Amino acid sequence: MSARVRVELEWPRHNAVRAGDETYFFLERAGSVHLIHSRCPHRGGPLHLGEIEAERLRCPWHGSTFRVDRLCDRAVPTIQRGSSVVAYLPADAGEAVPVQQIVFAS
Amino acid sequence: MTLVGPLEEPVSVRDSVSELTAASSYRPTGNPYVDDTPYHRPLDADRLSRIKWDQPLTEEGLLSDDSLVANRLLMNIYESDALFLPSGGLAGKEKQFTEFYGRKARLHSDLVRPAVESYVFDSLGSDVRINGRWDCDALEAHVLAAIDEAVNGDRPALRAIEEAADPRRAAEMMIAQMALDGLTEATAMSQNLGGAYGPEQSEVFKIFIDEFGYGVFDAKHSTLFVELCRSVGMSTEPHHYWFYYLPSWIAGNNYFYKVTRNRSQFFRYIGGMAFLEATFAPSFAAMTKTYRAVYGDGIDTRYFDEHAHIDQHHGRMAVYDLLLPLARKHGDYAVRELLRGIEDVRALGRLNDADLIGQLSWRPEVVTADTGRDGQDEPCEIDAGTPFETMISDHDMTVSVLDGTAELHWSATGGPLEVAAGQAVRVPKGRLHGLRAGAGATIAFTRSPARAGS
Repeated sequence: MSARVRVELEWPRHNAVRAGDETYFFLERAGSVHLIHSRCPHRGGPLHLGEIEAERLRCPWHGSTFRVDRLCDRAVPTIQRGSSVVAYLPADAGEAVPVQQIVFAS
Repeated sequence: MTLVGPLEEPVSVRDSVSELTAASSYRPTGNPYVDDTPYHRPLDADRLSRIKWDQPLTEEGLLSDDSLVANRLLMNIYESDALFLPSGGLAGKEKQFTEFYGRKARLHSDLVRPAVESYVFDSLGSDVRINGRWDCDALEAHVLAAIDEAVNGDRPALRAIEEAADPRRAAEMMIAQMALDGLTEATAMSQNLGGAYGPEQSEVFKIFIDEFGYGVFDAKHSTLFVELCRSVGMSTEPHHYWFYYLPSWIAGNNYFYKVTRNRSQFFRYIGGMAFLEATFAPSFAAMTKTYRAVYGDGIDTRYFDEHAHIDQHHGRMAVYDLLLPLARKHGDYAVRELLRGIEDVRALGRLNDADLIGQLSWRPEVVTADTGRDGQDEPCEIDAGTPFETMISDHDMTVSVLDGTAELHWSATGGPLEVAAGQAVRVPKGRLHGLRAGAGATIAFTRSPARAGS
């Protein structure tokens, strides 16, 4: 039994993954796409609806900001080949579904 | 591109390659097969002189003519580090032996190797990006998924053999590619037996001693490969089919020399090796079925059968006793390099399939030459004294014979196609081929871009 949930996505047709109550969204930097957990560590705000200024992502709820490069470093592990992306979510993420939804953070 | 040579004198890659290709070991030959010596590996100095070493091949470029000649050179550089002795004894070949392993060849090989490796491999896997925070759980999930995909996927190369117009010719072309590794099996692996790197060193050794038949020559995997070749009437001498190696297959063999020769790429080696070992058992079982279908009971399939068995163990050992323990012990850098090795080898596998299937699917046919092009293309002349060479066409083209009779060689066995004056043959883009004049004949021919629909 793998300790990870594998999900195959096609960027940019999919720009997020829904897994149970959690959302993970794609952030593209220099041709690489990073799958980032949308839950703000402060109060759980939706980071995918935040905005990026000066390479920092601002949470739309309370304005906490996070360095984009650090978010990318801590992103979900993925292998990207062209538009094909395979992600390995935490095992407790539940069933993972690739989706296209509103994402402001880009 | 310049290098720093002995005494800090700058040396160009081009000059060193030129020195290497001038050596007798790499001299041209008029024979489409290399005779019974491990020290003669013809290189085309002219084509090598045109390579821009500081402009690496793209991944697709690994299928090109530049890749073919660069990979032949690189293979010679690596293999001049391994010991070859003629099966019939050294008597009469002492000079070849000392020149192949001589100081001058060694010096120039060492000087150009990094540049040639960079030229061949820098773009491999460049379209694969490894993103995010990887840990051992994610690595394990990925390697198991990659193995599952390979094990349960289609086997298009074997299907191409079964469906070929001449299945024996096709099957033997694949054996010729496998001979790159099969006749010297585990030589690259042996480069990581030394040093001191913990319990995993002993795990590598366990796999290695299986490859070497526990010291019993008849059980050594390369001996089983020799018996496979012998049973179908193929040469058992290393590099007899030198001119028929496809560029991506040489690259695949060179890759394992590169990542074992360069110690900092050890984890890539383990990633690629573990992935392959874990996929080999069902692949070789499928090969036994295909080759039995082609040859019946006459073929010695022990080479395939041995891998179909022992690689069930090697696959488990390489993943669970090598790859994952190394990842746990050595951390993030190791994890990413192990992943890179897996992805590099998957990319090479895709190229190998495309290269071989393209060649097996091509059955050249003689047609009447298009006289409407007379005078438009500069004719080339070759005679029986012209060195034989194979090359990869970089576009669809037509070879038209104006005078004499040419032999078109395009596969390791099965003989050439004869093309007489007034006849032509179409050579599709990417196909390996060589032209030769019959004894006493001089042939003139042209190469022209193929017309649409021709």
